[in-house]
Amino acid sequence: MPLTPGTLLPCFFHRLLACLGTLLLSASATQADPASADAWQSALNLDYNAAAATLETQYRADTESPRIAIAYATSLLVRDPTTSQNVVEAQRILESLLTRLAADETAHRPVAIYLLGRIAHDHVEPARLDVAKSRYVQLRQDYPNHPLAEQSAVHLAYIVSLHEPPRDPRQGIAAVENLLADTNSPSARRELHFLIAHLHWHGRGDAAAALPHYIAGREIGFEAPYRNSEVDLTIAGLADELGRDELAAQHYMAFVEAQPRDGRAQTARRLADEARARLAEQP
Amino acid sequence: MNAARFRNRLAVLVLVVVFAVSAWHVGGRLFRAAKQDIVEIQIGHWLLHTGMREAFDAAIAGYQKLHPNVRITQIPVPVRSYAAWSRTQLAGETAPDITGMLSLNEELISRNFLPLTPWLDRPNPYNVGTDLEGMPWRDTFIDGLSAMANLTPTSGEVCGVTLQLNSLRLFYNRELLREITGSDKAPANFAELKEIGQQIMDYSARTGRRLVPIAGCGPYARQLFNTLLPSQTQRLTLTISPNRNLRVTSLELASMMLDGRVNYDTPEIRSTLNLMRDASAMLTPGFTQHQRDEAIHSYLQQNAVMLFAGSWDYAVLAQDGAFTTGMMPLPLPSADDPEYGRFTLGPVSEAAGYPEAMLGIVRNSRHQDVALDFLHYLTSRATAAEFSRISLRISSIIGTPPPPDGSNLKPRLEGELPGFTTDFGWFAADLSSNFFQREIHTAIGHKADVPAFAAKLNAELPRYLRDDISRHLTQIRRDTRRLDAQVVFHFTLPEDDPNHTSWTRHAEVQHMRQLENLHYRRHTTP
Repeated sequence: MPLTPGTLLPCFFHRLLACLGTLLLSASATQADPASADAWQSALNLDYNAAAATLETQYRADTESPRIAIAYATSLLVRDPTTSQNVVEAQRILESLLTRLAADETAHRPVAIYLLGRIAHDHVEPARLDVAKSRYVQLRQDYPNHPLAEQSAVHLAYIVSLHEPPRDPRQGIAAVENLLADTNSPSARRELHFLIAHLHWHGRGDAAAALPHYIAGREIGFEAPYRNSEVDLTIAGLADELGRDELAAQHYMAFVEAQPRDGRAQTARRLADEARARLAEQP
Repeated sequence: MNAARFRNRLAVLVLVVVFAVSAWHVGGRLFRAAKQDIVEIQIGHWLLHTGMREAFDAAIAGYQKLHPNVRITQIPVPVRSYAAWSRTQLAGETAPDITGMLSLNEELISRNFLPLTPWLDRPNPYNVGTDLEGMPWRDTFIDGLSAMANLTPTSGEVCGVTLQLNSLRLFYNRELLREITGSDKAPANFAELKEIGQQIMDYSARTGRRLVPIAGCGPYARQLFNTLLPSQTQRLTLTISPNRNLRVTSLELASMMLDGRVNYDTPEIRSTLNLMRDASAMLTPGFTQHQRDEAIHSYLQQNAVMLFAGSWDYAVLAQDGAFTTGMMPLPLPSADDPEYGRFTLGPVSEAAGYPEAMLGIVRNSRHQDVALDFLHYLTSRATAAEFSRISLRISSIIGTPPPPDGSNLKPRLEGELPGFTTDFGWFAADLSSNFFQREIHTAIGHKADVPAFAAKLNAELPRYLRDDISRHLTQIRRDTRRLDAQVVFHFTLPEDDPNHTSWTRHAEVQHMRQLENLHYRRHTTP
């Protein structure tokens, strides 16, 4: 619209107001950022009540922010005391967020779907496994390359193999193997390998079937402290039972080298020596 | 009337004096704090055993000499009230700058203590000129601070350092032992210990002097059984460890018992009860009702020839005993022991011992830099050696000389895996352990009846095991839910944040918890 002398003054005031508005918004945004950072830091420090208090204020001030909505809903799940009302409120916030976000939104929608799956899986009593499964499947279908979709595969695997165990454990194992075939992220594949190994060994007592999966998980590498070493011992112990002395010695020694101050180190070293001695005796 | 007025004036005068003294006290502190060149920090701990406060005093004096602008005050709190005290101080944000971590869970530690991880890979500046110069601070600790890392598995941060290592030792009165047995040579194995025990009882009967072989009390007897009994399950551990990882946890043992795979009739497990019977015969009669101080008093009064206690007790024995105290690791059954040898693998490794005196810096300390510098100083080669010499305890800093005459306090690094205990001590809600302890009288004393005790345990323990597993899994499920928050809050950090990628580690820990819950939940519904 062309500017005329009659519209100049109102236009000036509009622009002035717009500028002031922008300034106020940026001021509030710069104030909100440290508050958000504080809330995140509180949550990372496991101080969920402090995080929830800050996020509640932010959420009330701006219910449209998907990032704050997700964070607030998450904090409601873990703030003390844990109440079913908080869980219901978290669910409501996330479902409302899902209806608002466009289907092609990729930043927050997958997180909201994932959390709704997790709520149905582990935060309500009794668990709503049907809902959890449908959310995990939805996430895997809608966002096949999303990291949380890969994590959903692990949660699904737990449901189909252990939460709702089939009569024949091999069916559960087959279902997990199918999920593994469709999973790409190393961290999710590692967990699926470990679960398959567990199902073979603890469920069926089949060391030979379990061993390759323990090894595959170990080759990807675990991130939790000491878990690589514990799995080294498991691999070594099963290999020992199967008469695979070289493999046993290799993993016993991997444990010794990683944990020389562990109370089991000398025994592991002795068992490695014994395995090597058996190897040396072989023609 | 005059008397009444006088009383009123006296009351007012007292109030004025009290107010003036308080104002002087508070004002003085504020004035000192306001002086920019004086920095005051406090260190709160529960380490009141003989020699510890003196060792802290010496370290503080040494540090203040190097840094005249720093004032450090110790706040020693009795161990019995320390847990409540420290939690109150942390909640009120009034905790000392450096606060001892006793009975604190991961949430309290992560919430209140500053992660030291960024400094652990850098050298301790106070080690310049020593053999530890240039070595990462973390690697100067005997256990590489793994004990500290175990306290905060979720965050993966290390929020404190340890000063000392504890070990459990059999202390003995050299002179009295020589008088009774003709030698002060320490027994090499359990059979020799039993023989000495018999000699002491014979001597006591012969001379009329009321002597017991080992001064016992409830808490230290449990430690003794925890050290001795696993010798019988060393070999069994190799074959029944469910994860084949050379370890059987209480949860795994409970599960195997409920599955009927083992029970108290299993030869190795029955043997732990027999060993408990034999060991308890050497302890003070009625030891389960005694406390630590009574056992130490009995030993110092020479009413007992030996005392099984912690390395933390050595200072009081060395300083207050009118005799020479020797020490050794508890003698275990040797492989050639006719009764107990067949189940053992040999001496047990004490590896890194039991780290203790864990100290961290609280997040709201106004002088975190000074507190960190003091922790560096406290754990440096020279200070650690002096601390060890004064406190008569083993330092957690590698290569630090043991205290005078205390070389046997050092953990034995060489040795085989420990087996497992069969009393379920410190498992879940302690319901199984409490039942075991309530019924233990059947297996010890003059009328010891181990088969009856085993039968009772086989019949009645399972329901307590189920309850303990149920309590344990409740905690596991809570962890699983809380880990959702860690996954989401880490995942939603900006991608360039160094903590962002650790969401997968939290997801991994969550899967471990899920698996544990799903694997063992079958035991919670009979």
